[in-house]
Amino acid sequence: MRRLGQVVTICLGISFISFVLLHLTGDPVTVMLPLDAPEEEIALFRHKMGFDRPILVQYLTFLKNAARGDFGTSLFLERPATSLVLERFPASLLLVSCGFSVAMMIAIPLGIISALKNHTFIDNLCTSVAVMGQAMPLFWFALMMMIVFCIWLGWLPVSGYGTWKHLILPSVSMGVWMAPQTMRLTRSGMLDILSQDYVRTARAKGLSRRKVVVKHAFRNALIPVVTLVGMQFGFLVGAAVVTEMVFSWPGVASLLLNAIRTYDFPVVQASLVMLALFIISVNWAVDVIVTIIDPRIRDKRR
Amino acid sequence: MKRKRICLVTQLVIYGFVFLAASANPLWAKPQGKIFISTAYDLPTMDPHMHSVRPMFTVGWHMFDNLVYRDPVTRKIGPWLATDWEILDDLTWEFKLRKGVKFHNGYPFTAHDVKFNFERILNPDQKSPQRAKHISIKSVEVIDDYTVRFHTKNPYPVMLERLANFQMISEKYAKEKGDAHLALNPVGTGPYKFVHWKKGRELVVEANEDWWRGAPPIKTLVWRTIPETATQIAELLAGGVEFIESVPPDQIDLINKSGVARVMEVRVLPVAFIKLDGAPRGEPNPFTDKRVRQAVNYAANVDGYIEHIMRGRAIRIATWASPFAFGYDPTIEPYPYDPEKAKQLLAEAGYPDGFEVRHVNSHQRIPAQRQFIEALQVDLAKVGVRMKIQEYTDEGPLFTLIRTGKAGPMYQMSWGYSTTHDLDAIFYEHCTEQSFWAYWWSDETTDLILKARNSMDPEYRKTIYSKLQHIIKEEAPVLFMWQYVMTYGVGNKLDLVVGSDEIPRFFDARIKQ
Repeated sequence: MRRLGQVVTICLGISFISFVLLHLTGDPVTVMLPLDAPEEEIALFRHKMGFDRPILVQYLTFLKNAARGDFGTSLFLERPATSLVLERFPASLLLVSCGFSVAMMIAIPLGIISALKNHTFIDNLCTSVAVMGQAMPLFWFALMMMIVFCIWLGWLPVSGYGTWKHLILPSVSMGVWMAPQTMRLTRSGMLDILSQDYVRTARAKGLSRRKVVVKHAFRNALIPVVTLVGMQFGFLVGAAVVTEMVFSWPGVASLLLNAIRTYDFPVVQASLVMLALFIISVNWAVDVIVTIIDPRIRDKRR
Repeated sequence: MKRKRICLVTQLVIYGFVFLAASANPLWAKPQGKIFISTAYDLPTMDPHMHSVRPMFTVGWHMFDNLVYRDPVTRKIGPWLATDWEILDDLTWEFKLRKGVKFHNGYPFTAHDVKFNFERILNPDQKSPQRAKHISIKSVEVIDDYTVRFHTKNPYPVMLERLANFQMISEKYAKEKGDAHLALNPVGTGPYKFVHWKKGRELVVEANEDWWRGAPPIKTLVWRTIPETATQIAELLAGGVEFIESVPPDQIDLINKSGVARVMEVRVLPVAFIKLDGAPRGEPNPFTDKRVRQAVNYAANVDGYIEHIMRGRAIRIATWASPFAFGYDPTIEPYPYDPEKAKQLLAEAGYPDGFEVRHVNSHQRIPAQRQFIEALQVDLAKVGVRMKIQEYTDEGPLFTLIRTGKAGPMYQMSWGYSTTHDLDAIFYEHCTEQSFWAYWWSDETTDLILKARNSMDPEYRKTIYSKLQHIIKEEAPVLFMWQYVMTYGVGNKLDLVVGSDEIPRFFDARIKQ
């Protein structure tokens, strides 16, 4: 119940802030009417669209409809904003989950290896790669990959959507962007835990090194990692905006950016609220996962 | 009568061109091949009357037809769906229509469709963003199936200019299906038929083999939405697309040396300038003094910016009259670069130590805009005019400031003339009091502009525009800059022409063997 309250507050906050910000910077008249439209025409148009009413009234009207799931009709495409966003959602979901998987596939093995080979050449190598990865802007890395794999080698398509080939570069860019932080946390978590008493006990019991690492150490090191990943998910959606733009990926993020540019208020609102709901539900899922991994939290709740 | 003869001569010239174009593509040759075209912005709708964005006009030209057509080489307007026209009196035009033209679904194109198209766009309830462009038309009268008469509210010298970018839809189809259907299922008379459209991704069209002008050489066109310039360039170099819009000046060599694509430079109608609030619309400011506005024109090294920042891709002009617009007077010289003269003028005007001034900038879609503004800032500082730059990444907020009269004292601007190759399309908007775009005007200019606007005599209009350009240069309501040269990236295998109206003619393009 408390969670539901949080969700409602967050959605209200997001919609209000974005509504006010957009209306303060301008209105779609500048984009929808030709530059040489006479003044009476503009006034008439603003009146028809309701842009001449006080901003609070406009917001309340919007809220009333939004509560029923109706975010209004796109100002440019005569179609409901909600359905425009929903039809773009699968593409974004696919991109974010592939990017996420790539990140985990890079981060977790590398994190464990560098913890186990602490202060060796391998550890230093992994750490420097992580620092580089973190320092690299996402779009730059994406462009570099385009040049190498698409222009020089000609193996992959530059941009677009449709086949598995189109998916590789965008997910790798996002994965590489997200991996370093997760990797460093995995490494420090593992290091921390490897020096704990219970690991020493497990070793003393004569358990194999593999079993100790996987079962005793990793499971515990995973807890802060999962929490961080949950928090990073919001940033991942932010990274999706850049990735979708660079690779012309037809997802929600690029729809949102285009809508902001053209002051298509209904679409902006619908995408923001739905993205927020998405991030919130992921965070909620993360909480559940943490309780599964860590019985201590589960017990505390009881 | 004389006017009609001129019309006939131009027509003959154009028929010649059409014949050449047609003979280059023999009738027995089937359309073949497929090309991908990149567009930076989402196409808003497939209804040619319910948008005012350039990429959709380009698309519209390929699925629909205009009544008249601008030749991309000569820039002259000739027949298209209309074969012949006559000016009956100052307020009446009569057009003969091409016979036997059919829409893609088989419906015939007649005078009733023309009447319907104008009534649709002029109906305020239709909320067409193109309505203002055609507001001078009072009514359209059907004489017979292939003859229409236009009645205008006032003498309308730019009529043909406006008709050259207004696409015809079918009355019967529109009435049967309704607006919501039209927005997704376009049916025109044009060179390409609609296949499918995935919004934000791609639009596919296929050659109309029954086009009245003969089938276009390329079979399939695909428009792909690619927002990022860097991605567009990568696609062009990887062979993923054959056409991209506006290549930044510093990327031109890269593309030209790639061996797979080239940069096509096309002089286009639009011009760039920087507005000075001489009226003033906003707060009192130094630019209300003519000498200060002239000083800015002497202090800016515009030729230097063209050479070093635009890398030669711009044409210096004396005023804001585009050389491609009717009425342009080539005898007027631009202001020379003369900082000493600028300092002297500022001192005379009472600003020996200069002043500080806000400049509003928006660099969206304009290549190298930021570098140019920074160079200008340095040059103006040398004579004491200290620019404080306020920058927006989007045009929207700047337009809001302009409309509410708050954009002064200085702001960046470019003007596309609504593709109307006539000086009326800039002077009326920028130099008469009633227009919110105008940040400077005088009774004299307003009077002259209205006289030219209400006359159907080209020679008389030319004299007035020449006079106006002399006055405007002297009054310097803006910092005069340049006419744009657009840089398009085109795949080496594609033969293509782009007009001064910025419309690439893919229907006449061909793939090299």
